[in-house]
Parts: sequence; C-alpha cells; structure tokens
Amino acid sequence: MYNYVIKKILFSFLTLLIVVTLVFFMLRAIPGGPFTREKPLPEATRERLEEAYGLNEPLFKQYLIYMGNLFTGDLGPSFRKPAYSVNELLATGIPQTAKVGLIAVILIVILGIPLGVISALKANTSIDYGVMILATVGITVPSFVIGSLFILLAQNVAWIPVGGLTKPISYLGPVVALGGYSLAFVARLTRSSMLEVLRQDYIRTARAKGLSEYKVIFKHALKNSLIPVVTYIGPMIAALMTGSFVVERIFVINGIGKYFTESIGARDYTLVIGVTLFYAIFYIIMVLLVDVAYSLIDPRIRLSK
Amino acid sequence: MSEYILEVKNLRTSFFTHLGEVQAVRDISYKLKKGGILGIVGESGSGKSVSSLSIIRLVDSPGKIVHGEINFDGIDLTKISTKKMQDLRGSEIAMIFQDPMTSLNPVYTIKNQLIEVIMKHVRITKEQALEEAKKIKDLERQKKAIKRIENGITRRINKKEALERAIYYLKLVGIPEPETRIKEYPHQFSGGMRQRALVAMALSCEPKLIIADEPTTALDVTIQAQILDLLKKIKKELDTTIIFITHDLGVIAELCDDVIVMYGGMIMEKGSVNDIFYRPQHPYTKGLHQSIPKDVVGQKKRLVPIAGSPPDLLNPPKGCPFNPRCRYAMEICLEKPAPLFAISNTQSSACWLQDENAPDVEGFKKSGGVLSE
Repeated sequence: MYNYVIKKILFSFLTLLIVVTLVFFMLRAIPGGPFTREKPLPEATRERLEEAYGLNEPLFKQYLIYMGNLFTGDLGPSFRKPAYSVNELLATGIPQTAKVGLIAVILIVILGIPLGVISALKANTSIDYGVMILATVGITVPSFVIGSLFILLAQNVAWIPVGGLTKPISYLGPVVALGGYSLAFVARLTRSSMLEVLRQDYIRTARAKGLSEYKVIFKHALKNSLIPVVTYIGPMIAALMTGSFVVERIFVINGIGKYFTESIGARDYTLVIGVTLFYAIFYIIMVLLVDVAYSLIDPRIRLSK
Repeated sequence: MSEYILEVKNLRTSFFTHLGEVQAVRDISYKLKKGGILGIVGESGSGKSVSSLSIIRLVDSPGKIVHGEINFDGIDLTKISTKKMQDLRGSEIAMIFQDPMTSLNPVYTIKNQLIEVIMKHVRITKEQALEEAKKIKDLERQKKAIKRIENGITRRINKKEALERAIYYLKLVGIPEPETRIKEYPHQFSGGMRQRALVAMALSCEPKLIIADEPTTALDVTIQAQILDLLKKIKKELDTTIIFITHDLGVIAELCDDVIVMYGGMIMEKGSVNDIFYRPQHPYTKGLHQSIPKDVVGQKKRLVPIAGSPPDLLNPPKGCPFNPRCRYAMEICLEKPAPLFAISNTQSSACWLQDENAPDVEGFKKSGGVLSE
C-alpha cells in the first residue's frame, strides 16, 4: 500500500503541472485581459500596467517566469486586487470556505449515514417515508433556493445574522445550503446500499449463527454497505471544502468559491491559477484517501500495481 | 427426554405478499431421531427450504409461521423469545447454506467469522473450570468459585481458546494449514474451501442438530463428493443429527438414513432410504425415479418426465397438490388431500391409492391403515 501511495503522490505532481500549464495558456487564449475595461483605460496606462506585471513579455517567457516563481511557492500578485498577493488571498479565503465546508461534511457523515441506516431498517414504514421525502426535497431543491429561503426566514429573527460568519449561529444558513444536497444524497445512498446488503446470504449466515440483531446490522451489514458511500463521500468532501460560489455569494462569505468565479470574470490570471491549483491538490488528496479507505474497508481491493 | 430430537407438528408457513397468502408449507409433521441423517427431497418451491428455515425461525419477511409446533429437545421453538432463539441458533441448531460463495462476509477474515460464533455460545467445561478454580490462592474465593461451577455456571471461552477451537474444526473439515489459512479472507478461499469453512463454523459449537440446505448444489461434482464425504465423516465421528435438504436423489441415496419427499408444501411420502428407493409407494416418488438417468451400459431408454409443472402455491389445487400431474388421480384426490397411510412401520405415503376402497393399481400395495400423527 505504501508503494501505491508514494507512486500516486509522484504522479499527482505531474497532474498538477499539466493542470497549471493548461490553465495558464487557456486563460491567455480567452479574449480580454486583466486590464480590459468597459471604458478602455488610456493606452499609456494600460501599457505601464502590463509592463509592471510582466504581461508585455512573450507568452512562453511569461510561462517560464510564472513556473519559476511557482516552484518557490510564490503564486504571484493578484492583478485586480493590487494590495494582495494570491498567496494572501488564498490564506484568508481558504479558512472561511473550509470552516463552512468542514462543518457541512461532519454533519453529513454523522446525520446522513445514520438516517440512511434507520430508513433501511424501518423500510416502508412512516419513518422511512418521512426521511426519504426530506431527502428527495434536499436533492431536488437547489442550494440558492435553500439559501434564499433561509435568508427570507432569518431576517425576521434578530439573533440569526443573514450574512458573514460572525457568530456560531451564522454558520447555520451556509452549512444547510451547502450541504443539503449531499446530506440527502448520502442518506439515500446509505439506505439503498444497506437494503441491498441486508438481502445478502452472509447476513442470513450471521443470523443463523445466533448473533444479536445489533451485531448483524452494525458489524456485518454496515461495513459492507459503506463501500459505495465512501466512493461518493471522497469527492464530496473535496467539493464542499472548496466552497460554492452561490452559497458564498448569498451569505456574503469571502471564501475562495467567490474569489474563483470573480477572478475568471476579471481575468485575474494568477488568482485563477492559484485557486485551480488548490482545487486540484485537494481533489487528488481526497481521491487518494478514498483509495486507501477502500482498501481498509474491503480486503478484496488491493492497492498495488 | 424422548428419543426424538425434533418433532414438527402441523407446521404451516406462509408468505404474505401483496398478491395474497403464498402457502409455502402446508401442514407438515415429522419426527427426527437422534443421530441420523434425514433427507428432505423435493423440487424448487416444494417447501423443503422454507420448512427447515422455519425451524430456526429465519424465514425471510414477509414469511411467517402460521400454525404448528416445533419441538426441539423439549422446547417449542415457535413459542420462545427472539433472544432465546438467538442463543439456540448456532449453538444447538446450526445451519449450512447453499451458496458458499456468498454465505461468508467478504470484509471479515475467516478467523473473525469463526471466532465470533464460538465466543458467542461456548462456555468452558466444568472440568476445565474446576481446574482453573483450584489455582485460586485465596481459599475463601476458591470455595465461592467452585460453588458457582457446581451450580453450572462457567465462564465464556476466551479469544485464545476460541482460536484454538476454530483451528481444530478447520483441521477436522480438511482445510490444509489451518493456522495460516484462518487469517485469510473468504475471497482467498476456493468454493469448496469456503463450504468447508462454513461446515466448520456450523460444527464449532457442537450443535445437536445441523440443517444443511442444499450444501452441495452450488459446487462442482468433485467438490460435491468431497463435501458429502465430509458430512458422512462428521456424522460418524461427532454423532450429530443432520437434516439434509436437496433436490438430488443421488445425494440422498448416498448420505441419508431417512427420507421425506415433499411436493407443493406437503409431505408426499416418508420412509427409510431403502423404502424410498426400492419400494416407493407414492406416484410422485415413482415419477421422480423414472426421471433420473440410470447408467445401464448398452441400453437405450427414454427418460420419463413428470408431465406438467409444480402447483401455484398462491392458489394451491384443492385436494392432493399432485393431482393435476398424477396419472392415477381419482375423484377424491381432487377433493381432499390424502392423509399419511402407514405402509410399514418405517414408511408412509400420502396417497389415496393406499385406502382400502381404492382400486388396485399395479405396483402399489394397500396400506395397513392411516397414521395417527
């Protein structure tokens, strides 16, 4: 397994290199630039700005300079927020996003999986129907609707702020809007997986051994039924921890989800690459963790090649 | 205690589906002597599996025991609590299932799954417990410990002892190098090895009764033969009672002492293995024999299948379930299921041809009377 992990890590550097290169050249290929305005800047000003940021150099030279800086860990200055470097922006944005994301992930795991299990054990009862109706609502209603509804309701309640992350309670709205879909999805996935596993022969064997129902469910059924759930949760964590533009916009959170979308519109080349790089690294780590988790849960999967 | 380990009386088990009640087992009764192998034979849907799953109360929902008694060693299994039933499952009544490929949990080692059942049920013997008690230094405490043991309370087996026991049984069922193989996962075992492991699991708590539900059906022929040999050896060495469910008459002939032939959720005929093979008295049993290929060199003979198909248990035919396919069917067969007529003191047949008023048909002898049970 260690060989597998080391190999994967080495390969992921190559992946990151390709990601950065692609994004670098594709961004430059889009019409417009960081200093294009609706009302054009005076020619001289624009040239001075471009010179200051090195944008007057030949493209390939720009790339080499950028990559050189990148290897020292310098993601360059932000073109549109001149007071900050990209490193600084990420350093302030990531914690905001990650806090909301992490709370959502924890809630999904500690609520979604048990709800799914309960639903499966009480299949076709009113409890099951109740959970599944909620889950269907969670899956079908998009986050901006949940977010807007929350604000609509919360603006009449004095102790719930409708924006920012100033108080613990202010996390409620963003977490629900961000995690609602995944929570519902995990509950449904766990339920169907659990029902499938409960029909398996080895569950009958476990019962025939005289094990208590508790042991049959939580030892023999749960571990097997979590395999598909883990597949979903890995990328889900990556998606939630990297934030959502919509949710951050609605709840006025200065997270990287917001930076990302804004930076693309503004052609803030360095910030786009910086955020993309962070996303890519996070995804790679999560996929690797899913692989490792897989091999821990299911002995039939061996991590070696 | 009676000489019978198991007495099933008027058992009915039905599945309550949205289409209606599917009567899988319709009023069957039999007794099982200690130490023998009883074969239950029948085609798919004859109720053979459901009747035996009823014994350990593991009929899948929406199935339910509707009526009847199952007396096991003096206890009516239909009346006891779930908790008590769980204590009996695995320890007193063990089960071996059809498909070894799916009957072991893929995410736990063989060791884990074997030890689990042993640690749940097995306590150390009185002798072992007394031996241990003697080592207690404090005389006062030693006395107390011995008193407890005399009252029949001994401690549960610990993990190390359970492992020893697990390895012992794996060796008994013929797993090579059990000390190392026990640490492996089911997917590292072949089909035959898995079935051996499952047999070891069933044996590990020294049950009084083992129910084997088509344990060889999913295996190829050579492995089948090995598993059958293993079961014979076990019966000889451990003196357990076995119920062997199969649709394969050849296996029955090889292994069993007594046979029950089931059809449409009812018992058609029962008797010793010789009765059923040499003196079958029920048209269905005869039909089964005619549909088995017999290896007579140089002789070309057509197989005679039983025409028709098994009854729909949602709407079972009135009277004998076999009547639509029976060439001897009489008026009464369409009206009333036949009781079990005693043919000898070992054999009985649920067929109206045995009645004293029935016409003589070649090959069937008249019975001595209706069995009381």
